[in-house]
Amino acid sequence: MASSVSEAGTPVPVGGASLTRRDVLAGAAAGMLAAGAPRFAGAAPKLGGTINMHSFSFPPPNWHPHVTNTVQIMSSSGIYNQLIEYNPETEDPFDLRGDLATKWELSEDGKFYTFHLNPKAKWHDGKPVTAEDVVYSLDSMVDADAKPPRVVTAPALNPYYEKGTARAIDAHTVEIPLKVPFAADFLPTLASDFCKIIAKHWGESGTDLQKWENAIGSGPFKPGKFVKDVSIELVKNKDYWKPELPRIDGMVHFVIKDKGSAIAAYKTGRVMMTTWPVTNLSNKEAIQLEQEAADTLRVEYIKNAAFFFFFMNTSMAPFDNPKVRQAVNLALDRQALFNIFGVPGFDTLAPPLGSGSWFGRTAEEIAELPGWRQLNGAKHPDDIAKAKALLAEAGHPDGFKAEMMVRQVVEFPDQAVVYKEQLKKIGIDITIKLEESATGFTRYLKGDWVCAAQGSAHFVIEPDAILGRNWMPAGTWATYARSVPPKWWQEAYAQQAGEPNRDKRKAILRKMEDYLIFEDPGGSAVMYWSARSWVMSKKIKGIHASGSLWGGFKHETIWYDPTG
Amino acid sequence: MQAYIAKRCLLFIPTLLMATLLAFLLLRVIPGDPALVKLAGETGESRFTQAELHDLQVKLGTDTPLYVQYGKWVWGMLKLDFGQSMFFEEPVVDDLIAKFPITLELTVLAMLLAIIIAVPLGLVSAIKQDTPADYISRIISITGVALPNFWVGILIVYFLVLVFAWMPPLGYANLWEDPATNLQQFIFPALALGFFEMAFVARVTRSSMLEVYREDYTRTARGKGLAERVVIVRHALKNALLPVVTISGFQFGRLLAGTVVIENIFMIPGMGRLLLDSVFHRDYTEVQAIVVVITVSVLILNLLLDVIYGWLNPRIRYS
Repeated sequence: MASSVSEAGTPVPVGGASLTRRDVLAGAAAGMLAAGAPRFAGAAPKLGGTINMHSFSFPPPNWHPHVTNTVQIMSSSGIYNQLIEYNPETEDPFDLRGDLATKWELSEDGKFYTFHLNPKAKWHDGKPVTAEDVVYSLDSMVDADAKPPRVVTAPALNPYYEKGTARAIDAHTVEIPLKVPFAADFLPTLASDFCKIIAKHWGESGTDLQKWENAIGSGPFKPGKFVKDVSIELVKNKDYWKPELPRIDGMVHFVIKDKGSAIAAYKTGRVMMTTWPVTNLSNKEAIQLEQEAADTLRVEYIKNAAFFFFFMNTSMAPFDNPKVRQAVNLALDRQALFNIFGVPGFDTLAPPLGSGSWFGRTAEEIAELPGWRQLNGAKHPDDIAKAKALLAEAGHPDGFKAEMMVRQVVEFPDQAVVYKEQLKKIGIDITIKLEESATGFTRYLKGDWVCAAQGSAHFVIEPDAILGRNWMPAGTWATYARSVPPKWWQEAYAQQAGEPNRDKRKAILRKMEDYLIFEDPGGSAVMYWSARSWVMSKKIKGIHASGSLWGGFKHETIWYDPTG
Repeated sequence: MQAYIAKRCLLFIPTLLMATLLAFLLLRVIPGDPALVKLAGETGESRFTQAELHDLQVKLGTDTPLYVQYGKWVWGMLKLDFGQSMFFEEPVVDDLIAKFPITLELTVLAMLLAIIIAVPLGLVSAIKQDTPADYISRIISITGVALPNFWVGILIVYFLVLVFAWMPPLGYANLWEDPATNLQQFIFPALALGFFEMAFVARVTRSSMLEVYREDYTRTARGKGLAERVVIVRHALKNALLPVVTISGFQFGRLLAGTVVIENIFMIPGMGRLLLDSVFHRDYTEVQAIVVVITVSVLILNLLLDVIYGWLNPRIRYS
């Protein structure tokens, strides 16, 4: 299968073929699409209108884009631009295009990216966007000493960028050295909505950067009326530097925390879309809503956005023994769990690196894997036998008792009941301890837990982010699990991150995944991969879900078609 | 009377102290850490170090011993300083000023609706005892007592959507700036909130009315040749309503507590919704302040009702 290069020159993972350095360079040199040029097929976009959106939570007022958590960035993304972005106007979820950057190149040795900024770009106060602003922003995103801490951007960009190393070549050209030459996942990370470019003069102005009303960006919207606990409004930036954008006059994010009220709001047209695809509606509820309001609503999906896993504290007995962890990994009946909670066609039964991407296994391969395979429509008996043998080797021939800590959010409590039943088959007697979410995180942090039901959303759906977050020692879930993979595995992680040849990279990744499947799942025994649903009115046009939960939410291309 | 009021006001102090202590301690008993909630984010996607967590704990003041935290808070309150919200890092008093009138409007509207519906319902039920009107009234009131208000709220939302394909406008319209929209936003939550109150008051009105209806003075009034309507309104109902005044004070506190759920279902941005959010955020200062405001409101209202009760019923004299 051939690799493709997006219109903006960005490598797009469409199959299993290798992406060579030549491909990358050729793509970059192929000429970039002028940033922001609309290219959505079909009816001509209509201008005007304000769109009401459903947000499931009202965030704390840390509106500095490099300090924000998810809910804030999804409500404020339109105020700012990134260098590059996930293209919301194509059905290819991994298509990246320029935002502030008109084009970019990777140096021959793979050590530097050079980005060329759109000279027309300007801040809301009329000053031009310069390369110095980009340098300032990159340093802000990874600043380890910044207060408040950069809890999202720093871990995301740290693998690729060292503070203080970017430099402005001229007013509109910036050079960014890479920590890992040829790091293929740098661009998808940089395209996420978290990686906002902010004005240096704003950052150094001494104003309270966390206040909503003080926000100054270069984006298609400006901060509007802010009613705490009620709504967050963004109004059109009439002097936006991209022609004909944004198309709508504004949007209002209404906070609707009650699930029933949210469904009622969709059915009555009070809201037209969710702010982003993480809401208080499950995928099944979103599908049901779409069916019940088939004339007015549609659902977009971000596939493989997250996975659910059986979580083990590797510093606590008995899960400090890799044989016990592997026994659990083999014994869990993923198909049974999927039958209950998964949505066929959107969710995927797949191991740690997923399925359907260039780096994931095929469904046929997965069906043969220990722990995933079945025999005559039931859990494969060899896996159960092997699991029992491993437990015996670990000194637990009759199993053991363990408490499972379960945060009372999303599907975790229900999944815990299934885990409990499944693990009984190898003699593990689980006691479920439900915890409110904040309490659960406290226990994770303190290490005061044995096992848990958990899920992990991926910053970008690329190998660095997936493996880094869950198995590398500094990753969020690996940190909570106190999980440290073997040295060779960590070295392989670094090696694959800088491997420009996709086939070679895939081989390394396969070896790493094999270890998690056949030997030790570490703290995270992956169960199945989950899509996230994005409910929207059929009258909303000009947008498609991207390949990242955190990409493509600036909403400058959205338009409202009153005729549907 | 003045001595009675002064004594009651003095009793506020230990009651309030007890309420503050309970609110403070109960929040600390629940596991969770406001600094952690803030850093972890809604989906737990953030990554932070122990040092960053400790820095935030120091900033929020949760690193100090409990008695220090409690002392600081109570001392602040004595100076009418409710402190900063731990989650939003804004003065708590700003939230209270913004949210309390919203919750008060909802509560008062619920109480008004309840009484307006309940008194005639109880009255008809009593004077038409053991007739179909009485049975219907009793079915309504028993249903109201039996159904939790969150369930009534959900049913109302579904009813509006299924039958009228309509739900109240989103956001919040101020009563004085946009009364029409405000009424659309508040009438249904007030109905849901006041349904139990309505049922309870209807039942009290009925039983009280049945009792008063058989009293000598009612019979005398009727014997004097007064019209039945006058007997009911001037003689029977006036006395039958005395217990309603008493229970309304008690119900006010209940209604205030009920706003926690109803405001969430109907997206009313009042103090109840803030309280629930603040519990989830482990926003100690915000929750504590709301508990104090609710406690003071209930105390003052009960005092007022006692005074009104004495005024309505000359047989009662406070000394």
